[in-house]
Amino acid sequence: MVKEGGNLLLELLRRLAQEGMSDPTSLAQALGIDRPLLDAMLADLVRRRWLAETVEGGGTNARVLPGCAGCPLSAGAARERALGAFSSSQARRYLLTPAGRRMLDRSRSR
Amino acid sequence: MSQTCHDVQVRQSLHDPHSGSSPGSRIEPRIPLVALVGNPNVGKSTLFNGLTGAHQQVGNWPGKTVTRRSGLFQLGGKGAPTGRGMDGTDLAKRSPVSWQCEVLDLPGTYSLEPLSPEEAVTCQVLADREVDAAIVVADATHLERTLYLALQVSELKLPVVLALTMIDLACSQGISIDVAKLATGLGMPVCLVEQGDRRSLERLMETVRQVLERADSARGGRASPQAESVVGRALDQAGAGAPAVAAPLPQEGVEETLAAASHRYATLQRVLAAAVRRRNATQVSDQIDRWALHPWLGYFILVVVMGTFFWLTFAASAPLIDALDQMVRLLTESTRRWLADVGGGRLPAPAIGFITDGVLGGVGTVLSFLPLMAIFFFLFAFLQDSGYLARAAFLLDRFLHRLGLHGRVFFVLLSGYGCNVPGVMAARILDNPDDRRAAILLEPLVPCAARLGVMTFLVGAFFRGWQATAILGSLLVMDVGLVALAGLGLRRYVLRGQMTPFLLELPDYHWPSLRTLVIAAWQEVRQFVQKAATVILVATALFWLASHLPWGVPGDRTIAGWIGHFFALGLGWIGIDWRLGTALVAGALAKETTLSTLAILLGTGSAAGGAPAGGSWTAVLQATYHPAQLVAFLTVFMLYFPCLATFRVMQTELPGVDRRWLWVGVTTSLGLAIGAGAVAYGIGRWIW
Repeated sequence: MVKEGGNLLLELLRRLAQEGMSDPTSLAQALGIDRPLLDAMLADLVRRRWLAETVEGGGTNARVLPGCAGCPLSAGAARERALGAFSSSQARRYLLTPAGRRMLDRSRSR
Repeated sequence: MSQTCHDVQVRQSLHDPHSGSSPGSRIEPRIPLVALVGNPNVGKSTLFNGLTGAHQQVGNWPGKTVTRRSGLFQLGGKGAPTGRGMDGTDLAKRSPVSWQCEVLDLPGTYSLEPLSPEEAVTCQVLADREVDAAIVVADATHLERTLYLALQVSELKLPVVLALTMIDLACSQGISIDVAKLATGLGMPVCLVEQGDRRSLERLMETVRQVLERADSARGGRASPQAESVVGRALDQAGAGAPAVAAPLPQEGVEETLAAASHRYATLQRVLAAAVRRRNATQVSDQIDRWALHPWLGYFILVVVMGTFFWLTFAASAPLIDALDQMVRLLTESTRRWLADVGGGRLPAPAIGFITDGVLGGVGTVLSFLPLMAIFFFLFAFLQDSGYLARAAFLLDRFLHRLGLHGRVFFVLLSGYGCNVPGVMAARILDNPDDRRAAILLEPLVPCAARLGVMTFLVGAFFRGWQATAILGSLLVMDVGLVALAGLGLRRYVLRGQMTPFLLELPDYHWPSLRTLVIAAWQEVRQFVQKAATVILVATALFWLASHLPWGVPGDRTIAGWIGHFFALGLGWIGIDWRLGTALVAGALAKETTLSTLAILLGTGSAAGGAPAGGSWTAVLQATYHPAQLVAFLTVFMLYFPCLATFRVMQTELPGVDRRWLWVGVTTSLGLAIGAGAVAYGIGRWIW
């Protein structure tokens, strides 16, 4: 639980950096906030380039990267794009970016 | 309510110092300008159209390519508002108010810290107080993000009214909003706006009118210093509207910006906790996840789910495969008889053999595995679309992360389960060259869909029911273990950098639609058939020739026999004979050709080959091989070498000095494959 007046966004970044891998539900509980608000904060941190958002490419649902466009096998890998219906079932990952880590280091040094 | 759009040009001149209009052209009394602000896709444009009608003024913002849309709204007379206003009085009893305002549809933005020219326009207009009031449009299903923006706008000391849209959708999602508590918490009036309901629009604009009246008495108030500094800095960074899409937010004063943002989130947490109640799928998903993601029970559930998945695949596809296999053999034999009769038997035997055993037998055998593929990918899509596959990935992630494998590397590896080619290319997301190199080298250890399909087919053909499930499950567990071991090795000797932390957001569970599952299975099957008609056909034809030239000699003395014997020299001690060795070579071209090559060499569905002729896959495999031999072959096949397409991409992705790592990786995976194959062969010999 973040103390009254504490910096929620910074605390979120700190917890991400300390705990390695986490899931949003337990992270929201730890921060003492609701899941939808955590989602909004994550989107905010992505916007600030301190977190990077990637979509799970597991299974046969591998996303086709821009560089794969010329690959003869890309059609198979691009299935979820064609369907469009799979996006809701994909896990999203938020990764701490180098800029996010620098931000944390700066805040620690002050 | 009536909507007009006259004299917008004059109105524009009031707020546009660059328009060149003379001050004398101003209209008195001044028409208030009300801005519509909100996140993209919250129904802002729908609201704008509802307020201003079809007659709108559309142009560009001065000096920018951003579209400026505005229109007039008139309140009063016919269609006067009904219900109660924000002061509680009955609007219908009031004398009709003749009031009009210009409505300005500002580009959508998530915050007043702009990242694009469109967002910069919105920020500029609000920060410069070019408007008299703002209506912040909020999607009731995603309140948090818009309310953050609403708080930012209110910090500018602008009169603000919150318009909640998509109320019906929020209700259907189990979200209930206490409007009075929300208004009190945010310190701004809140109006519900329903699409197509004119009265709700009028109530909204009546509220805006009252807010403006109140603001008149306090006109001249300035924005809070905190808000001015934050927005000002953000606008400076955006270069007064210059494109800043790819640029990071300003780093100067970033701590202050972060503190202000955190304060807003804390406010939102308090307000939303009091005003919003949710009863949606997330709570159900959370309850299921208490078991599905349990530290040890989760892994037990994973084994049960995946075991059932494979068992269902085998059980449901076995009768279909047998039936299709029979059809292929019937077709092959009837074609052989027909070709022998054509031209009075003058067609040479090699030609007949090529067409029947090479083309029909080879490709037909591969195609007979369509039912298995269809069922496999149907069930796979079910696991994926229901949300469970993401949990499975999470559990494996957690396990490997504990072992020390980089989270991002694992993400890249997961990308290769469909096809190793995009998996290798996904390594580009890794910043650290060591991470990238490791991910590319580990990728061939991840069985792609084709490899998994061949393995599933052969296991299903040789073993039955739960035995097949146990064999395939063990192979996959072994694969995960080897990836973990290799990852640990790399972590110790190559990847010594900092671990990359990450957060995994799991989707809610839901029941997949039958249509989605059918489409998913169909797309896989279609792609496979396309491949069978091209790459596999050519490869099969080549391997048929190689397995029959020189003509008339026994199979083990043909070209394919020589190749197979060469490999059997190194692999014979783990039960891999010349036919299995040749199939491994064929698999290096494309994994599916392993099956067609085995079909040719073993003579399934034909009178050729050295094994019980004309038998089904099950009969031929069981008569030719000991179970330990097949398990050893499958282990080697799972790990030994990626297909040529993957190898080529690995070459491209490991340029220059890194190229030596490619050979290190290939040699290592071959060594791992032989080592694991030996262990599998030993265990198999001990069991059977």
